Amino acid sequence: MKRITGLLFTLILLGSPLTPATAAIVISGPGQQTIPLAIAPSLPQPGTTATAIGSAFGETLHNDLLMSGIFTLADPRSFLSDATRPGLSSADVDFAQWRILAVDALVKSSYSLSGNELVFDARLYDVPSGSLLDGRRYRGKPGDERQMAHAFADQILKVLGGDEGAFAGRILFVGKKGGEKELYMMETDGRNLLPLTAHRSLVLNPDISPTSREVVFTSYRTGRPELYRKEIYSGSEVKLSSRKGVNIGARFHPDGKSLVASLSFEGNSELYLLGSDGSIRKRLTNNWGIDIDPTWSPDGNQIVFTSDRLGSPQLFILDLNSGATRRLAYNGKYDTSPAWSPDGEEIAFARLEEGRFEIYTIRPDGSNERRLTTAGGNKEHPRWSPDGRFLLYSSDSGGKGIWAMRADGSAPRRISPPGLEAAHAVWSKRW
Amino acid sequence: MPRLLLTLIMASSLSMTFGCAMKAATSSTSDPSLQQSTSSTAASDPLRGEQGQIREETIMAAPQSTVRSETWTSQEKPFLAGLQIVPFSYDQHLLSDEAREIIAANAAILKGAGKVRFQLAGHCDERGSDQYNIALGERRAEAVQAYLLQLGIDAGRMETVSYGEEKPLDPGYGESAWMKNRRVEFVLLP
Repeated sequence: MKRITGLLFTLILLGSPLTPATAAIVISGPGQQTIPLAIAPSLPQPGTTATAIGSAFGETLHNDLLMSGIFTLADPRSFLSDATRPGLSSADVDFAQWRILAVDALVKSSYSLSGNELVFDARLYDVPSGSLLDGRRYRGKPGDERQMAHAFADQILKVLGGDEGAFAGRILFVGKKGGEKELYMMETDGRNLLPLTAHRSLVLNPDISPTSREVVFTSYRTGRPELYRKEIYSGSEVKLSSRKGVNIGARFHPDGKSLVASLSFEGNSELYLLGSDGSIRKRLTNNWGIDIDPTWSPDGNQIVFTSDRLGSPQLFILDLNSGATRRLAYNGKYDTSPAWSPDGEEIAFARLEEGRFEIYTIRPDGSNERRLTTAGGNKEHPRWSPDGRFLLYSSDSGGKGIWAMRADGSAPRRISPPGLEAAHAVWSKRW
Repeated sequence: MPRLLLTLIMASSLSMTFGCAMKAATSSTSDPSLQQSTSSTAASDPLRGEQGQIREETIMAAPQSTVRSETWTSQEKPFLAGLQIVPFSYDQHLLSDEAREIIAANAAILKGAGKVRFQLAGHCDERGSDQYNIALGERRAEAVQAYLLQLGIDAGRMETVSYGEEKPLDPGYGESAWMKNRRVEFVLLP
């Protein structure tokens, strides 16, 4: 048995970062106005030979910031001599050169590689005032440079975008090979694919705990749909529910201490509140219809779910305090897989219309229903990024895969690697 | 400004669990514009596969579950001649006349087969939500089971399972494939 060894990734915070309010420019959403930003090439520190590590860091940072939609990135071909100077002190930077390029923000970084230790220093400057906005040092090993770049992208979003990003999280999903489905994990840009289960069976519909340490999923390993809980780090796995009938669709409560799931041992699929050991704390629905796809409001007081109690699958919201259930959306004939946004303001879901699933959002009060996706295959299983900036979904356009788009539906792109059928993604918080 | 270095180590409980050597991360900075406190957080990162490659090894970093992988019970099935597949309409679990005839014929075969036990496996076509389809497949299997009980088959010989849309007979697209996939199969148990 191997162990996860070593201190893999150390983040050093240099100084208390300036609060977003001190930055001259803060933009909270894509679309309206963008911040012109330059990412200078990452340079090796004296004594370190230049390697592809620097360009991997820069490329990852570039892609993350572009994906966020709140930056316009300056063309590196226009950079002047300061881009080739390694000094990171604000006194070392020739801001006049960057002002010529009309950028408001500048990222510079350098790295050193000694033995198996990789250290990245990254800085974010406010160009008009020539001042430092944020500085970070990351320690790890060669191969960690992309994850370090994700972490710095998250920090840049915090300083200039109002809220910390979620690029340093992970995406968990179901991948299919042959007739088998297993859980996989990848970085938020689709890199570093890693298998998480080896059930040699059907593993379905995962969720990840708020601490990002545990996953729950359905598996047919024993020939029936049963719920499992697995610690990601240790790999230890226990059955959460193997009651008669179906045991599916588990979702962690926002506090991580309980779960909601669909079980059918008492007749048909109903929602149950489960303890983290799988014990039943409460039956939540009691209806002749199929009740599935539950997901929590961020405050844990409500659950939105799918039910066919009115004939076809529709979305309903259960208020756990009052016990009252109300229908959420009225415009569709077949609505499923709801996902509540992290700020509580919106619910994303998939609607089947004219034979194809599209992703919609609606406010929890039933207002402001909006379709986010357009033609090009079925889009299902929407899930929010932890910062609420993006929606992940499954699409069968060009082979089943995981796609991400901004929360307003713009900039959709496939992120799961080619050659693997992928669906049911969930985006974890930062590790 | 005084160059005061404050090092704060926050070891994740994971690292402690595995007894990893924690390094005190200290650093100095040459940037005078930075304030002079430094803290560090540590997080272990299990995703250390080579770029773009699946590292089968890394999952073994975790202790393997003691449960052994099992093959599909439903794919290594004992055979009983004449058992037919029960068809269903789209998004329906109600039995058509055709379905009832097939179930009755299957029941006759099973009555002549001693006490052999069997599973009713409910399936759906790929349309619709996969989670909903697992519940729908269960309803189909239960509808068949209920009719078999009426026909005098002993409840102790039957069990139900739903695979939803996960195991299509025909992976194709279109009604001719979907029609085959909406079904309940009789699977003999060992």
